[in-house]
Amino acid sequence: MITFIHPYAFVWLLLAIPLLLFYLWPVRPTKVETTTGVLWQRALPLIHPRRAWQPWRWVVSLVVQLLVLLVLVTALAEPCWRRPQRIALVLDGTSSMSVQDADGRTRQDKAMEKARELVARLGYNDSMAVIAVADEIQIVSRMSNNREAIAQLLEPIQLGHGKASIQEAVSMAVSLITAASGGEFDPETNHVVLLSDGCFPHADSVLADEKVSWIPVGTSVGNVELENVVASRRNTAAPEEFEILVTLENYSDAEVSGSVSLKLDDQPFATEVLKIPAAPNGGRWTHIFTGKDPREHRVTAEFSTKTGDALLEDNLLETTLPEAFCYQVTLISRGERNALLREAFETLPEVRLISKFTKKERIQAISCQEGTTPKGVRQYPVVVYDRVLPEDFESENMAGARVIFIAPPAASPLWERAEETRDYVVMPWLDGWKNGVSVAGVGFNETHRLTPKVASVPWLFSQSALQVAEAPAAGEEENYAKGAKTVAMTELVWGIDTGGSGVEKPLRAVLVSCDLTKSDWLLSDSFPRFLRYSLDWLAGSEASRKRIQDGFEPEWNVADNTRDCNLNVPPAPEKVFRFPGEDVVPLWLILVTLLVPLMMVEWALYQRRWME
Amino acid sequence: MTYPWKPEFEKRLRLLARLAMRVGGGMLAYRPQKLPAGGTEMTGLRDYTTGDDPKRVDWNICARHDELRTREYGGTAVRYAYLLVDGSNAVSVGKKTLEAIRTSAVMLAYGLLYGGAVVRVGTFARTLSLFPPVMGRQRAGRIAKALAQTAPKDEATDFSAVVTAFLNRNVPVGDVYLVSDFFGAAETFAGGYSEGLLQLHRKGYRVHLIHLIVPENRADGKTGDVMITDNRGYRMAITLTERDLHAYQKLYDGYLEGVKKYSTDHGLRYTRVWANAPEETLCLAALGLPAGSARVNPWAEYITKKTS
Repeated sequence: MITFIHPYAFVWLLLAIPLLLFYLWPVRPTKVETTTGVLWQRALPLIHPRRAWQPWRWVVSLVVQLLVLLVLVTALAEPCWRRPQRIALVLDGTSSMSVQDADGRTRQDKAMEKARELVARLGYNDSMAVIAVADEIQIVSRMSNNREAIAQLLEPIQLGHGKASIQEAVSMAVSLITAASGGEFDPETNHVVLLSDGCFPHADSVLADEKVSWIPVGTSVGNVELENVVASRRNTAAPEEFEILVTLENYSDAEVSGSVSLKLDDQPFATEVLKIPAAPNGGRWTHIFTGKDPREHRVTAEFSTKTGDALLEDNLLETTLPEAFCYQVTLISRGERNALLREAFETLPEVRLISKFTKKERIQAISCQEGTTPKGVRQYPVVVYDRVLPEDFESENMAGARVIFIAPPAASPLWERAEETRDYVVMPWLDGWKNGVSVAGVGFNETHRLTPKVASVPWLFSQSALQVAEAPAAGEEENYAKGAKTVAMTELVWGIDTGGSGVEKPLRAVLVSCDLTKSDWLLSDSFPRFLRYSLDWLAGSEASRKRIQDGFEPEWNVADNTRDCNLNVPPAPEKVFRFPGEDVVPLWLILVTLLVPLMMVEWALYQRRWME
Repeated sequence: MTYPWKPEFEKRLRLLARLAMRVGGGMLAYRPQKLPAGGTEMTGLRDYTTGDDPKRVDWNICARHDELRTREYGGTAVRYAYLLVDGSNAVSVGKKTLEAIRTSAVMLAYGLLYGGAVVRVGTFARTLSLFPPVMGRQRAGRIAKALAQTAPKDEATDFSAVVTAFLNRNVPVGDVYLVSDFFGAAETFAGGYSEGLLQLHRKGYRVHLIHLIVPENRADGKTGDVMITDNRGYRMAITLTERDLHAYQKLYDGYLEGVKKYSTDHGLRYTRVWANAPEETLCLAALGLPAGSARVNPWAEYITKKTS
């Protein structure tokens, strides 16, 4: 199918009107008066083929001129043989695109220029969608064949500092094309064109995708990235101590000298002069800064070098050093001492444990007042009621308290208690906890089911009583159809927070329904983790939430850095995207070549040299 | 412009005529014809014969030698010059042709009058129109006026008929000056003019050809679509190419050379006058002098000898 890149060029065919007018205009030949008619008669014989041709010359000349005009205008319209193309243009707008190349132009400028060229090359049957990847993936233009509109939409796009995923944008582009072409992706007519420097996460997989036609932009530039700054209080025994991990990555082929300076709340804390080896030699520099301070700080790390860096925005990172905290846990057990539970608390270095026991079922609520250690570390009080209950839930001591209830002996204003007991086993597929707390296979025997009456979040499920009225003779499907085989889901551990109910001093509590003295959970190595999780949840501070989020592993919780600071452009593909038919001799060139003999014919007709 | 007749113009003509006389005459050159009798100049004595006028007897010789001797008188014949100017529609071709042919004719007429000739001017096309004879350079203005008041006729030249008409007038034998472009119905000059020229020659007229070259007849710059019209009714609409022009120019040059060759072969005086030439050059050419003649110092040879 023939298509035209510039169909509006056919407007020039209107020039045929003046051509026709000129043709219709009677032209009088130049009159030559002479007295030498005899000589002219002898020089120009009457019987001559040219004389017979004379009347037709103008008509043929007009036809040739119109033909020349038609061929010229058709060549201007740039015809090409191709089926209608659908192109989804993905513009990389990540931070690496703001880098200036050696010629002083940014990769973004080059990408926009190539995008405009692509739009200009669209035929009137082709359509294009434009997706810009900036801070978020933005569909600049849906599938459209209006080149002017697409070009106008391209103009205001400012790229170069985004962090959105190219991979997702490419997937979106494929979706746009398949949606427009009835769910199929025909590689001959559908193209996902990526205008990028190839410096983005997961570039290998994206660029290797057969559906993606990558047009490389820019040239490779060396860069140093301040890869990670992680502030942590990993020593739970001395929570006032902190460590700050700084990681630098050098992507250039030369060693880079510079310095890293750290600031705590904009106050200088430390500076380290460094040399980062070249990328072939590893290209990494890691250092851990240590200090003591229980307060929360905003940590700013900045890398600077005198030799200059291609991308400046990856030389500065900020993070937060969480506040140091610990717990004062008062463990009250009823009846016999629960030695395993006490030992479980003692395994947590941040816990100052006070262990008590009572023979009563209900005791007076214990006061919970926050305080600080001599070293200034915030201390959260937590009371653990093991098979015992406070006498009055409305007392002053319960207001704003952080409490763990383990196997409460009776109902309370916060929950209801079933009288019957059941044995539960946590199935592996119901073990949905994180942070290393795994309770799969743990048995909870003689457990009274508890049902919270206030806002609560179930933490642990289990199932019991798989059979109710299962008829052995019936098949499995029949029993299931009758509802004979049911699974009773039971929540065993709850997190209760009355903060959402408008209470002035909300209560935060962890409700454990099973009796730990009758369970093997205490023997599991996941139980101390559960306690730490519970204590952190009860604390409810930013620092404790961060610790829940980061986990309890001793390793550095280094966030996955998705920045594209490696500014080395991957090798260009063997075949750069071009519209089908553009890699052969263009039709307009053939037409222009055809023009030459036509012009020669017209010139010969006018000058009449062809007969001589 | 030859007419109205102005003293400045006459002065220029006089100077050019003097110049022509000084360098040999050019087209005006003329050997005076001596008459054996009838004049006033005494040429000799002879014996008295019967019938001699007694007044011519030289009585002093008779007294001295005692025999009758009669004085003989001779003289110079009057020079008759006929200036036949082309008055056909050929002179309408070109912007300056008509003016050039009149200027040439007036120059020649003035030079002839200056030399003492009786000049009779006429125009010819298919027929001949002769003006009354004029003598004395003071009357040169009449010739200019007559030429200016005679419009070209819209007819082609028939030279044989013109010569026949001229001879039928029985005018005295003299010099015939033909001023024309000499293009006729024949492809060569000889074909159209030789018969008439031969008649004049047989009758004893000395013919001088003043050939007017009309630039418009040349092939220069006539490429493209043209309509060629001739004073003899020839019309052709054609697109001329360089090759056509080359062929025509070759014929044209051959025709001009043919006129010159005919003049040389038949002992006719011949000169060419370019219609687009400046007035002085044109007048000099009509007199048969080269263009730089006006600046020649006739005393240069004498001065050179004296200083050396």
